[in-house]
Amino acid sequence: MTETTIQLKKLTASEGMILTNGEAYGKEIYLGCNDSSDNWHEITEAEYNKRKEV
Amino acid sequence: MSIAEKFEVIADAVYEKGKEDTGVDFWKGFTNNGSRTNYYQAFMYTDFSGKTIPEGLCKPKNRLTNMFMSYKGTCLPSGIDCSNFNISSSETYHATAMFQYADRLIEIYDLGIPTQKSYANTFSGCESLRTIEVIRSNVDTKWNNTFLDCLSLSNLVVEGNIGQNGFDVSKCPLTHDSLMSILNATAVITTAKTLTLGSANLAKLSDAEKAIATERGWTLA
Repeated sequence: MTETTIQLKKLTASEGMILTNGEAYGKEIYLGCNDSSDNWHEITEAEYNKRKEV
Repeated sequence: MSIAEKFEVIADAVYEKGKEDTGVDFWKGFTNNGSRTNYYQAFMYTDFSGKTIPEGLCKPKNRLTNMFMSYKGTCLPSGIDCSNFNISSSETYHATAMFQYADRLIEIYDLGIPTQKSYANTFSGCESLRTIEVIRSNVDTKWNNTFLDCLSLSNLVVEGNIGQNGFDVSKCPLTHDSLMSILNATAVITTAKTLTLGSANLAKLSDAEKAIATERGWTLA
């Protein structure tokens, strides 16, 4: 028998918001072991769409 | 019938004849008897679906950039061998935009393309593309808009490693096997980088599967 502990740090955007670190975007983010929630912030979906159009 | 209409009929007939005329002589001419190495825009706006290039004639070595850009077929002609592509040549663009806007193309078989420095825009705009049999990369390979608007892409095999930011398949309805191929290709990194799979694809993965990448340093978006 093996016992495994899986740890995931998940960030979930608030309603109508998108998470970004300035380069990548997502409604849910699973942080890598070297990443921190400090590197991510929320923007509105309207702002996200504007950035994607550029 | 006016003279203009007659010309139109003749032009159509010549076009149709040209489309049919893809025998050995055609391909010998197209490939300069197999000595052509630069395939920049070579198949642009063409449709060679179902055609076969005789073995040994089509061997791109110097330039794959835009090779099938805006290609109009659903399938590539068979018989293309890119395995001898010179990745150390001074050509820096490599497979950039190789299939960009080939919006009817459904499948890309293994052309033997070796690991590239960059796959920028290589498949962007391939809205009908369902399968990329294999894509080869290493930790330095750059991904910029590689799969942009690949809205049908479900099958993808990554051979080698993913080590750079910009890998974004969030608009692709990938199979679980394809997602696992991507996760298993992630290199161990020491500074945070992001792999963008999208919510729909993330939902297909278990926590243990996601952890394959997060424990290697990758943030999944």
